[in-house]
Amino acid sequence: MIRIKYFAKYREWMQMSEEVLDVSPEDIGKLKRLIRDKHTNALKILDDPRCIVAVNQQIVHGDGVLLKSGDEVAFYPPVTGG
Amino acid sequence: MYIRISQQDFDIKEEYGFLSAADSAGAIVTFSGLVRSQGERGELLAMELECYPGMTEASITAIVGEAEQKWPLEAVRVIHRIGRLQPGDNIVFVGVSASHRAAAFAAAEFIMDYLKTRAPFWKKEITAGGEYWVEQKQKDEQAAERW
Repeated sequence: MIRIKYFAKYREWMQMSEEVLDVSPEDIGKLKRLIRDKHTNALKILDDPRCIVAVNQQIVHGDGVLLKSGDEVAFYPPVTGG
Repeated sequence: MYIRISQQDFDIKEEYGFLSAADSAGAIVTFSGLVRSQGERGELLAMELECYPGMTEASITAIVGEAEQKWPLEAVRVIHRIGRLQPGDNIVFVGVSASHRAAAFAAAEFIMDYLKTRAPFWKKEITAGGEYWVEQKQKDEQAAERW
């Protein structure tokens, strides 16, 4: 099981803030493939070179980052607070 | 350190009171950021702020922790609002007290620069012509890189 979160414009593109996958892909690359197959509008996020990925609220880099069941994976655009 | 993310407004006088209560406080620097009336695409009707509950707090805690490693600080208070705000409303407060002014000035600026480029918050401008997500500015990234 993987919990996925989308924020800001990604949340709007996906029309949801969160989804839960029953399967547990072994890494970020495989998770992205699953999301791409499931939602046509996810392409905009997955192709965005500025997309930030966080696993359990820690920023990670690269598709090879390993996942385990129960992980929370977030996709979000560059931040604009302050 | 005190960190708060909420819809609630803050009272600068009250915050100043907490900062000046620190034992060795000899210098206090505060910064507050407000919603501008002019957005990137014209006059603002409102601004919406979103965060990543949990990660946003953790990220600010890490930033303040770094500031405490770099400078001798007495107290740090960071407040960031979320939700729907109006032009003129407070968005963010950073207050730092230290024994001497150099540390207080530097730490306040460092915390703001890092907060703007690292902490997961997103702003959306609501105008008569539509709603627009604010894009990250290169100058903000450059400001954070100089530390």
